[in-house]
Amino acid sequence: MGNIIERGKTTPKYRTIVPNCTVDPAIPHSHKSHPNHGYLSNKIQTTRYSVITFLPKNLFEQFHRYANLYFLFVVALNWVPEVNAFAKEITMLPVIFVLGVTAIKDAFEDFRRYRSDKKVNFHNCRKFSCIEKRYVKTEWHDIHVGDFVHLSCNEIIPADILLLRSSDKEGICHIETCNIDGENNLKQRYSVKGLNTKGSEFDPSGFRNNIEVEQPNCDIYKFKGYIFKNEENKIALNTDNLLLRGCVIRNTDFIEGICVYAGHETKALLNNRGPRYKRSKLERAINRDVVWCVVLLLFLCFFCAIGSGIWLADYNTLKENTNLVPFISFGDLDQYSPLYQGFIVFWTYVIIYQAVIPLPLYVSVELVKLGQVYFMAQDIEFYHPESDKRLECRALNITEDLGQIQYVFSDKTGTLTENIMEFKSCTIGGIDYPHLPGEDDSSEISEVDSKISIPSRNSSVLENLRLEPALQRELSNMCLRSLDSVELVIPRHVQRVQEFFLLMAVCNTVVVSHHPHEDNMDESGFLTDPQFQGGNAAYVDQPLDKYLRLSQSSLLSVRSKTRSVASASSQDLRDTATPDGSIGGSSFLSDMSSRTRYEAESPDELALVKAASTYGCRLLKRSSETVVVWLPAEGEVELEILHILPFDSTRKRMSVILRHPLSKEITLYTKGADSAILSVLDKSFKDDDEYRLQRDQTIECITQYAMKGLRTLCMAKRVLKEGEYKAWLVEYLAASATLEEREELLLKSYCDIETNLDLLGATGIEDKLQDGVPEAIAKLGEAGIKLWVLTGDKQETAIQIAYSTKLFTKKQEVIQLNATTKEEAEALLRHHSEQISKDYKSSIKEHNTDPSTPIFREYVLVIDGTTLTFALTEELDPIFLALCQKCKAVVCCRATPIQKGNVVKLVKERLKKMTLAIGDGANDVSMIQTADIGIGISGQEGMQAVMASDFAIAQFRFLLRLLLVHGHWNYFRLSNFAAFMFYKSLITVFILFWYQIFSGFSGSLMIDSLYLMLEHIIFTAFPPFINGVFDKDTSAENLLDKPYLYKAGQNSKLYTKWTFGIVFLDSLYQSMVIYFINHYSYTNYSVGIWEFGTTICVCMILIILLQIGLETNSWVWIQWLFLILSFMVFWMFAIISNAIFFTFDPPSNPYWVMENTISQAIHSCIAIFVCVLALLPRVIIKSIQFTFFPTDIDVVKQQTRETMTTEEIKQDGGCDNVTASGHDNVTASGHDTAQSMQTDDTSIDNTETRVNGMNGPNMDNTTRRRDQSQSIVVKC
Amino acid sequence: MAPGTPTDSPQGEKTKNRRPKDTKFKQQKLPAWQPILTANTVLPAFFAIGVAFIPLGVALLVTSNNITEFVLDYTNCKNSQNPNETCAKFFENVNNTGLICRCEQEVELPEFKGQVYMYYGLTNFYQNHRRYVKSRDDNQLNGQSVGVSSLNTDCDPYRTVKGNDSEGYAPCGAIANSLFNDSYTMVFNNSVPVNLLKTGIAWVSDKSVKFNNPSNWDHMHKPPNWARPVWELDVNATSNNGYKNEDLIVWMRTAALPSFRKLYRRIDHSQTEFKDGLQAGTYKITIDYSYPVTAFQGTKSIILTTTSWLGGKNPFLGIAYLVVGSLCIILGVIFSVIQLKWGKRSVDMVNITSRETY
Repeated sequence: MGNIIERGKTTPKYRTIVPNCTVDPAIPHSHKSHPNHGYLSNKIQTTRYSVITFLPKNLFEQFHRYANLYFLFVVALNWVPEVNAFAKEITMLPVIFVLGVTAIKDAFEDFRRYRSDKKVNFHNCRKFSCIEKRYVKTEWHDIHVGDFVHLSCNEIIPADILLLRSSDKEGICHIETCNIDGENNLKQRYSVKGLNTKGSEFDPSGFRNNIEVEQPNCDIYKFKGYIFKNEENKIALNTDNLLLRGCVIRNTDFIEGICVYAGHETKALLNNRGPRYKRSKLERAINRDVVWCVVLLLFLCFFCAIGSGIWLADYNTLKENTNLVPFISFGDLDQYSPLYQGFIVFWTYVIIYQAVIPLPLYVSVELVKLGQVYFMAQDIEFYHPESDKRLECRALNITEDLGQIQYVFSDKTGTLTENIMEFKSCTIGGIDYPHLPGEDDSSEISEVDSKISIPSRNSSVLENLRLEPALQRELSNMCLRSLDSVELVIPRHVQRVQEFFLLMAVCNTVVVSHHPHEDNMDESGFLTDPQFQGGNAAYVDQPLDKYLRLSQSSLLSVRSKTRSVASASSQDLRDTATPDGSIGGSSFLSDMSSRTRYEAESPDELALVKAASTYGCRLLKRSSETVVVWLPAEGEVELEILHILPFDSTRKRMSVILRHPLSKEITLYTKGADSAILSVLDKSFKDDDEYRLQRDQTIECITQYAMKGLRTLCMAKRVLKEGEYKAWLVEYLAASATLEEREELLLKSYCDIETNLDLLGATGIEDKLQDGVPEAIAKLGEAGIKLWVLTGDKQETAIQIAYSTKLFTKKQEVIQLNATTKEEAEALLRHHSEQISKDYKSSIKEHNTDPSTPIFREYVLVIDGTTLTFALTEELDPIFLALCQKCKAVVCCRATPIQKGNVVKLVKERLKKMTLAIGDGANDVSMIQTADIGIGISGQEGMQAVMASDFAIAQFRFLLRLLLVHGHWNYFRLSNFAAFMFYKSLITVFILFWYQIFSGFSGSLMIDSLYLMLEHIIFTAFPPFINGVFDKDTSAENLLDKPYLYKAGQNSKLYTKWTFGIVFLDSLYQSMVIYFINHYSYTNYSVGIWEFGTTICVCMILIILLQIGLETNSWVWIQWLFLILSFMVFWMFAIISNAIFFTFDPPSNPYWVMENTISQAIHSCIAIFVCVLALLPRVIIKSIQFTFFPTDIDVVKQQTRETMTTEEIKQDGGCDNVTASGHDNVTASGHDTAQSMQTDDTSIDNTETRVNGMNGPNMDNTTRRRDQSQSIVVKC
Repeated sequence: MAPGTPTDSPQGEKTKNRRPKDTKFKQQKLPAWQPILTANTVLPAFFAIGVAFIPLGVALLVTSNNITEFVLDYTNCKNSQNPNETCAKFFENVNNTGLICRCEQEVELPEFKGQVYMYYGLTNFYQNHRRYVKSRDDNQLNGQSVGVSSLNTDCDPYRTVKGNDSEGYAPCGAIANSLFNDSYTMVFNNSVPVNLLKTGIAWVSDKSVKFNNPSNWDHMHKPPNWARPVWELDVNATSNNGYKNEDLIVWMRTAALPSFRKLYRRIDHSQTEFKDGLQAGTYKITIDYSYPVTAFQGTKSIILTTTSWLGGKNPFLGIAYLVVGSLCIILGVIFSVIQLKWGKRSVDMVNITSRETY
């Protein structure tokens, strides 16, 4: 135990774990004498605060923001007696408000985290109780390092556990790691071998060995450690023995192990990065304008400070004895030198004008976004009933970016397509079996099947497949032969067919589970008697021997039964010779299908295995050494797996090497991409005519499949002679034994054996398109969004999908870039780039001579992974980008995850475009995280994409509504909101500024500071907020109907750099109206400073609220309510607070001021007049702009209104049909033209001329249509 | 969410229906009114404003013109004891007040009908200066027993007598210290003195609630510029004495602008000669001139005025209403012309422009 004492000081690399059962149970885990006391328990705490630390910690964090620091500084400044401008306590109100709101938000979030922690910590699991000598039910947080844990299938692993025992005889355990690395294939883990347990089962209480493992680290692929068998012997441990927290046990009945890392020391939690903070584009624009505000603040402060100095100097030179000037006679002359006063007053003005920088801006923008997110998540249109999922907003602060997207990067598989693979056709030995969509006779079967085939990863074994009659015949022939034991020479082709299906069944990583995995230990850790769980004999893997026998016998019975059934159906076939029914094993299959499940790494493999089993070639069982298949010709065969050569992206194929049990023949089965297989075929495929024909026919079929949008895979085999295999084995073993360059050597050895292949055939698997994808893509295009498809799939498939999704149209010219060297790539890029520009030029010429020529030819670009590698290099990316911009759409195929991310990065950073990436798989994570907005499809491929995304949707088509409707609204709302926040603060500050001119630049305030402080946080806070959440410039239907409306947001038209200027001028004008009308109206009037200020304040709040009214596009009752309520609150607050005598807030002491002011007629006269005059220019400009320079939205509004009036007329006149059709005409025409008028970013300079040319006919067209519709209305 | 966090999916408890509620509020489909501002729709509003504003403007203008107002600037009036010297000059060399320069002015007044008020007007007097406005103690003026040491520090240097914390000024601060202390008397036709009322010139709320006398005046001193202590401001009427003195109350309500007028006296219309206002004729106004204004280039004046529902004589608002009213009518006409000539066309143009851009 010497290690324990030294641990932590001298040997920090390793930690020693002692099984807790060897320790006296009376010693608590935290106690010093406990050998494992230094390690964290499994309790996790992701909360940032506790009840006690919340306030100081949260405040500390909040003051890391510059804005908050600034306002804190202002508050502090106000406590300097010389400088103070407001009542000290009141200045703190807004700051406290902002801090408070943020704190509440943080507290709420933290509380949510606390609750989720609690949920996690109180998950049930079973740990070994050393006292009761059995596993007992406990909670996650109660697990400590050194505890033994028992887990059943589908349970989540609670901590990092060293696997000591698995229900599998070989000690294998399957886990799904998608929670950690996003890969959702099943991975195998092995229990620690070599423990001296005499072959019997592992006994927790008997396990007394110490374990030494690395200190906790975040590397999930590395783990080292030892188990000490005794003083000398130790067993090495590696990653294969470790089960990571967060993974799920699959395909294994149960496992047992010892916890080595717990809680925050687990690799999963060490890897957990916090959420990234994204800043939206609009927010960046707002920040830019905040800088203008700071400039303005400094200017105003300097101006007033200098003004103050000059004003004072006037009195100083006038008389030496300033005591005669009663309003500045405050003692020492020196102290009141103009310079000193100017300095003091400067700081006073910093306090007074603090509102220039809208203090509540950031927090209120966040609140608005929160509101928006709430309603987005509530939108029922995003609800996908099949998966029971709705929109999930994971990022809260980039809602408006959705309205500004210019480029969409989409993954193909699982995003555009369903990622449900369907076996569609195959070619064997050059003969095509197209599996044509069946006629009526198939309907029954497919109906029945469709009930079974749930779109799920481990669904039933039956593929929803129409069997090809010809293929069925071939296979049934084979059945008959074998059954009748007629020794005939099997034709080569029939043999191929069987080999082909055998390959489909075995050359994969599909795992078979015959029954739902069940553990015979219940939740509380008691062993249950399996006999009570029903006499169903499916416990093949039952570890207890007595049950094993039972299950085997029953399996036998099943087998014999199926044989008889198979023969019976064969009899039928022979008699009738009509292939209408299903062949051989299908009834056996349906019999078994209810119990057997395939669990596959990729959906393609699943489709293949399922298709094979539909044809009767069925995978029954797979272990690491053998695979059991049921073949139509031979029945159940147990093949020995010699090797599995896994798939990698270099070889693009995988292989298995099998030994037949009877013939002892060693065969290599390979499946992979066509290019990967065709290049390593046997020589005879070149030399021999027959073989060459077969090869060519196969290639032709593959091309056809690809044209249909199918994913193709080639199948090949090689019979290995014993000698060949032995020779290779030596090489292979040597390669796997080397330490350096192991990967390369292994690769080489794989390639060595994967040669001289015999081509069997190829398969075509359909990847079904999701609903509404072509429509969504078309509309995205109309909205001016460029869509790039980045896929790992092969070029033909990608192009095909591009056509079927209408991303490409037949009119467009496809440019394919396939280069193998950098020079070639460069040449290609340059060539096409020049070609397109030439083409443009020539068509402009044509266009000038003949205006009727259609628009330019459009180009689309297809680039493969290799070429992309070159294109993404620094020298070539400008040309590449230029070329891409000239093309309407771009498809990158064979792209690696990193490349996907790099493409997005290139567009985002070089072109400065707003990018959105959408994907569903772990391979999309890189681009999802790179893009401005990442969207995850919460589909089938794990959760990794969703975890990395900002928004998660269930279907690709929802993207349309997300962008066009909510994105547009959010952008529109937030632009207005931000502009309004600036307007609000500027108008207030300007009004105060004008007064300074008439109060000797002394920093005097006429408006009660209480009103000033509450103005922004209460009196005028809610209506803009309501608009920010509820206002709509036009309806969702219109936005979806006219996607071009999206361009307003895309081109940042609603919040431009002029917005602040306009706001500035508007507030300057309005403040002048408010101040000077008051000033001159109150001249020759014995008005006190507070009455004067009260009238101004009433005017100001009234105008701000009316301005919100002017900015509101759609009025629902909420807006009315809050607008009226806001004014009433101010009004009542003023009246009530002025009716109470208090001297809390010197010098204003507003007792009875409001009452006296409003009782004077002049007050109302001024207020009414000021409101009209201040808002007049805005109304005029808005109406003129709407009438003469309407934006697209305005046009749509106008149309909507006309439609409404038409409908009214319709209702009055009662001639429904005619008017309705007339109206349809108008809207439809608008839609059409919009579609045909899609322009390209790159051709903007050209567009001018083109558009001008097109005006003529269009105008006629429209007027004509309009006349029509109007005449129809008139007729009514 | 942490990767180690189990989501609800693997545990197989996914029977919850996550379908959002289909209510009009949650789906943001509440019935909405969508007004649009076009030349067409704002047109009636312009006319309406015009029609409303012009009569209102006329009414305001007429009201303002009906007010009779007389202003006498007496800043440089002659010292009646020394006709060669103006009172302004007299005070230029005098630091301390208490001295009085009397000047007499004979004025011809028009007829004033109704209630007549006498104001004093000051120009260039920044009663709204920040430090000046703050230089008061409302608690003291409210009659609360404020100890000298707890007087508002903003009152400095008119808070305590020579820095001695036990002796304070009553009332403290610069506002009180600079109390306007000229006084006027008016005689009609050299024979009938016009009775001037000292009360009813301050806000009732100020007089009854805000300003109250303390129980005693211990340790309190008169402000340096004052001739008498506060408790001797009006020895004849206790209700107008001390902090409750209306001249003080009026002065303490600081003016909004540097040129201001404050109510000084009401004319007593119970006199038979003046029961319908002031008769036209010659009045002699005697001014006890003791408030120096030349130091800040200010002027002083006496204002006699009748009043109306609108307040003082100021045609500004009436003219403004007329101008804006007319402007709205003109705009209305312009927009009508636009509407008639281009109205139908503009709708078409709307569609064309949409096509043009896209």
